[in-house]
Amino acid sequence: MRRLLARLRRSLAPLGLGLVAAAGCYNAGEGADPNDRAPYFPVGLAISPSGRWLFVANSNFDLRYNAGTVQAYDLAGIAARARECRDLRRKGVHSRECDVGEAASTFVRAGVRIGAFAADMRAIERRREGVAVPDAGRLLLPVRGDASLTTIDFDEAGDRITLRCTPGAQPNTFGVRCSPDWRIGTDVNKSARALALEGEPFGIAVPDWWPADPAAEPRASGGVAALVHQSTGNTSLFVSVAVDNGSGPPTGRLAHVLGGLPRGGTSIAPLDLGDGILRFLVTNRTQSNVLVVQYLPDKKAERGALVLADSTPIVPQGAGFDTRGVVVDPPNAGETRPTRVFITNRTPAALVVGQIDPATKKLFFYDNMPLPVGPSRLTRAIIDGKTWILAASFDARSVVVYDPDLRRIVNVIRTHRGPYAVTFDAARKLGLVCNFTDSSIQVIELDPAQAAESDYQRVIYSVGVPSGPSR
Amino acid sequence: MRRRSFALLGPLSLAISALAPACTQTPVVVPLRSMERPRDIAFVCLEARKEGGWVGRSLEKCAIDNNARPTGGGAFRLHTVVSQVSRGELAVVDVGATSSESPTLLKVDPRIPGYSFLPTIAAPIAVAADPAGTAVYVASGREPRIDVLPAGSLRGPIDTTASSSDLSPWPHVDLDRSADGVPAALAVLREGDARRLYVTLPDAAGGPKIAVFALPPIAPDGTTQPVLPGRVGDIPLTAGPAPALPWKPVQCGPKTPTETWWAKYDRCAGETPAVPIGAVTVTDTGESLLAGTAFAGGKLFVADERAPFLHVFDVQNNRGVEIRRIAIGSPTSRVAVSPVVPDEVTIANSAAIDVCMARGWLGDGLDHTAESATVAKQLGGRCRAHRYIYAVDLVNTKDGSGSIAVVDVPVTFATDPATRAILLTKEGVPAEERLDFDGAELVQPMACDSPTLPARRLPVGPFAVNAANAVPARSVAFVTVDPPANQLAVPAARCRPFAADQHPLASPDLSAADGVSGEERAARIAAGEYWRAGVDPRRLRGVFAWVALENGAIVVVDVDDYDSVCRGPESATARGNLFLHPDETGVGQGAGTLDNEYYPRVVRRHHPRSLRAFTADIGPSTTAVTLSRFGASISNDPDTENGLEFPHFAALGAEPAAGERPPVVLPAPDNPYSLVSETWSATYEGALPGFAGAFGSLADVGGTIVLRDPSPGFCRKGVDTVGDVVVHDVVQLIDPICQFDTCTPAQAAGCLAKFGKEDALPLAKERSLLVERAFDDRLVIAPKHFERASATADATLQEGPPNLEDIKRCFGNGVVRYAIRTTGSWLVLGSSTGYLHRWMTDPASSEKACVIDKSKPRIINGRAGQLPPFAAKAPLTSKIVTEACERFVNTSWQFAIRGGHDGKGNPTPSRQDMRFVFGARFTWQPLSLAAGSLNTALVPVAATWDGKERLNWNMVAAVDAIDRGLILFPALFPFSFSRIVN
Repeated sequence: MRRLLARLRRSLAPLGLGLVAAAGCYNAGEGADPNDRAPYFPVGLAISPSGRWLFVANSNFDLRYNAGTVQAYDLAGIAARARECRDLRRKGVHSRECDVGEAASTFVRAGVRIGAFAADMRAIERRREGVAVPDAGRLLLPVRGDASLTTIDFDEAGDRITLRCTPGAQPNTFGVRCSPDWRIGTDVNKSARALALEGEPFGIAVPDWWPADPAAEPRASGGVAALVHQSTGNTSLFVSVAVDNGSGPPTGRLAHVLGGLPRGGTSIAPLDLGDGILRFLVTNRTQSNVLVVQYLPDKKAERGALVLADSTPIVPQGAGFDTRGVVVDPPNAGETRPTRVFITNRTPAALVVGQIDPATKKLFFYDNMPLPVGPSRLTRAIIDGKTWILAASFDARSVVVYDPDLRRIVNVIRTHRGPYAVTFDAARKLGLVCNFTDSSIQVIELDPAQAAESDYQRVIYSVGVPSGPSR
Repeated sequence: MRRRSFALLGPLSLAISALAPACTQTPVVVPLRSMERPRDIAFVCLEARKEGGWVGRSLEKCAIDNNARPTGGGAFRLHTVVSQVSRGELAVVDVGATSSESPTLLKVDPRIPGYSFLPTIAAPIAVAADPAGTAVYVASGREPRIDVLPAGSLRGPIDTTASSSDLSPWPHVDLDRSADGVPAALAVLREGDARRLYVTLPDAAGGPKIAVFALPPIAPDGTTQPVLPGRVGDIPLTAGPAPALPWKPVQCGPKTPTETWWAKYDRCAGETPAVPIGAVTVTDTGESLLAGTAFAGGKLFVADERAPFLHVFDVQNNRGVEIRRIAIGSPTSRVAVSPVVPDEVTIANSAAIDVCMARGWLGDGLDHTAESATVAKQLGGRCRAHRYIYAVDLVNTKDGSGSIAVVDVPVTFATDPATRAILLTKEGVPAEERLDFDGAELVQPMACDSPTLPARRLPVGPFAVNAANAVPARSVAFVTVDPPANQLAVPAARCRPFAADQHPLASPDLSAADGVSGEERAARIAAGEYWRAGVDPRRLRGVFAWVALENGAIVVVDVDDYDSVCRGPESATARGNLFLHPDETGVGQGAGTLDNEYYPRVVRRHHPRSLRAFTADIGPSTTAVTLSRFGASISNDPDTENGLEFPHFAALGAEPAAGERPPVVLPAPDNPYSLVSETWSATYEGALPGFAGAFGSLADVGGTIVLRDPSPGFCRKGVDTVGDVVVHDVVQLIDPICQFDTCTPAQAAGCLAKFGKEDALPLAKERSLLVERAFDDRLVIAPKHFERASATADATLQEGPPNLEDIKRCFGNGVVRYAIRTTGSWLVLGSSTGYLHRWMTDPASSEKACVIDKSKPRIINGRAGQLPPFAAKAPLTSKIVTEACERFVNTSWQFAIRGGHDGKGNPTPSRQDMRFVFGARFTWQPLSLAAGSLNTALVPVAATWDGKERLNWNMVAAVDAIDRGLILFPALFPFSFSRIVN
């Protein structure tokens, strides 16, 4: 019976990440403690601003444990080991660790425990009076299990990293459960509009630019984050998310909730049109459009608001819908092209390509490229000044490499089961994908200067032995 | 291995979903299919060997006759290969020996269960086949090489269990990644037995180029050897800049051919109608990305996804040079070139064109005035021929991405100076074709139909005729279907819309002058009679462009419908005369001569084809016009409206019958492409759309009150400031008062007294701020304000600016929600068309001022005026509004609103938010085929070389990347059946 139940829990994983945890399905504090040194249904990847650390958010999707986790991995060590394995394979030397997967504990240096059903994660710099605190940053995670924006501060010191979401955090420790004080949006008394974050926070966007002018956004508001909700489609606005508070809890606030949007919000991305106005692109599962939401700042940051500025139909698909990911691709240095926008749709499964018209500053879509079944998230990789798009297809266990300049799919990379979030290590020119179903993280070689034909744009290493449902 | 585990996982997921806890959603069930993201397609003819195995053969061996019987004898079967991008494979489909067979997906590895495909290189994006049947060529999006798969190996058996990291097992041609880049498109040209493979290299160092490979010679006994093609040279881009491409002059009607139907409405406002004359000029920035290709007339046409022109290469007889660039105006992704067709055929010239075909004069470039009175009269003596280039826009923000540019290229054939006959090859096709690029013109397909349609593009994509077409085009294929009439094989025989004895070919007096043999005449007359029966929009006999849209739908565009002249009214009609050629009546000669559709020219070249015949039951109509205010209906009883105090729609014509209401709404143009089923409203001083939820901030800027909105677009949203400031639009503050604790209780009472409540019907006039000037990001408020003399009086406009301090105090410190309303006019909105206006941001203004775009006609109009009332008790029809300039006319409908009066001749004012509503019913439906969800290729099942099509299968193949895989349609009646292989 116990084996049957265990198999049942594991076998929930292939059902995909569209599952909803309704109220009453998740009880915190009961059950076994999670494995703090291994991924478990990972859903988010983020790289520290220094490039030294890889953060992995684990969702505990089957509620096997009493918490989800966030772990800090030695990214430099992973990269070195990945290329070591790559080189060994070129010589014909094979090993289980190199070819199948290596225990994640080899690289995990710290971990904390959060609510279950984390949905996404971003790493940002912490700022004190607008200036970035060196060797420090903050993780922002929408967590569906406790309807919060959970924050975790991190401080780096060589090969030691402190994940702080409780008072008195120590470096390289495991198993600490994050304090409620580090969750933004759960206390109505801390919101100027007396708001509490509604359920099912899913995607999060944080502008990755920081203006020199203190009066310009998002700096004037102390850092802005927008979060989209999976059930209602509403978009929540947070301000002061980047403000450093020393060792104390964060001072970010839930400022506003924009309602009346299509249900089933999935992803969100910041959009900079160079006019000083902060915008976000919001996607959803129910309509064939992408919304443009605009930040309306106030002198008092927590009185800022979001407004719906525009709605762009996904014209190339006619009535296609179920958008899962969005990424904005502004021109790289030396390029004169317009800003491009890429979204992944599930129905039909495709990468839809759009751009911002330089004359009208309006978004329009004009092309779509079929993807393997079940597209999910995507990311942008800049390699030698050129953009590549990496799009994960969850159901087809693939990551597609798309060349937007030549408008072609250049490779379909086979991964472990359930590739979900993808990120790019710019310093080392490596792609990283977390595989939800098999609870692993895989490394993709993207450096054309280092790679041979046999390993270029292929998986060269796996962190974590695939440990999903019966294979 | 991968496939096996995937197959097991599927049922497991389905089983698990039944056991899932109640708090989880239904899982995504992924249907299992064989093809996985198919992309490109090519055709191969294979013959089964007696000793076993298969061998590739020249494609004409797989031809069928007009009764769908194989002509080659033996065991020849047509196959297709379809590249599978996700798995790096090539699927092979046995299409059959004839078009009546069902295609079969082949399993090339018999050792493993399930379908198995040929492994090739990663991401196979392009595939081409040697028409002589030696091999199939596959290009990868990743590797700088082209796999060469011997045709005899296509059906297997082979070992497909190579791991994903192994390289493809096939012989291949290596390219140099640093010098050549990675190949994009492949195309094979055959001339006699010589075949060449053209490979576009868009990313080559030193600039894009085309690599040319010679395919191996065919062995005398027909057997084939897997010999790699040899690279014989490269074709760089060397042509000079693209010359200006003039717009083809339009013919919008018999009397005023160069004027559109809406020109007269421009004159109503004293504006000069624009005549669509011009040219496309482009600038070569040096950027280029070679894309889709097409062969025609000895030339290779290549689209360019970065440059606004097409490339034309001379490749005939082993030449290889870029000879021309054709200005299109925007980057293009695909290109297709039509077969040779005559001038657009109408009732007025169909007999002459029959003579041209019968005498073999089409495209000879000669003057036949002396030889044929018919040709002299109807065609000016010349049997002109054309090829049309269809180029799909990649990105075109003005006319819609994915629309199609059409270029008309005149064609002539070399003639024998002695006999004046066109020189033919032994196969009976013209020996030498000349494309007159200097005489090419950009066609303006929809320039006469509606100003909302892009004039110089075929409208698929976002500006399409209706929702069905509002998706970008992906692929274009020209399809010619010319089945013989009964047993008669007369090429391009058109159906005949009149009695036999009225055909010039039938008249014995004309036979000598027209010089057509008796047998030929009899055959053509009989064929014309034969095809008149069963005329049907769904029968595609002639030359058509099949356009696959990105969402998988396929629409059909008329190019040369051999049955077009048999469609139309049987007798005279006033409808649709705008589209007739001069001297053309467009109607039949009594019952049975035409199919009695109500438009004289329902088939027009370069127009999307209609799914339905234009029979009376699908004519445009409207519902009754209702009047209401704030949701309460206001009586619009015809018995009392003559003396009503309320405004009403005026009569536009006489009563159709005694006791019936006169028409009050009419179609603006009698044009099916301009009308859409939707609901129209006309609201007095209505609120402009696009401002729902808009926030703005009011501030005093140097003594002037300015409204700024962080989400700009006042010009784009049509804020109107034409004329005297008292009739400009107004900003209406719609927030509750004192909602942000900005006023004391005493102040709140004052605010309420002045501005009223936010839910009052109507809102207090004091909430309205008159706009003096509009800029794209701000509105300058006029120094006037509304004020009432007493609590019961109406507010009137007074001099002096609004009190900004009052506003800030009462509406939350200057950040306000607002609406924009018209003043003294009716805002006209269509539920689908929206709000039409001509405002734009002045490109010459650094301040971003709003100006009228004079390039748009006046009927791009969303505001209706009001006619003065007339005498009490007078019936509607006593003053029919016949003068066009008195009517409100937009791109779809026309009407006139007349004001009310008090029964004593005094006008009664119309009130804000009075609203007329009527439903418009007519939706033009394109002939559209459902072919999946995401099209990646569309090709006719055909093989053409040396000017002749060899297969005669009359089918079209479409590739859907998502779920349908390969779909085969019959070209003549595409709705009769389709065959799907996935």
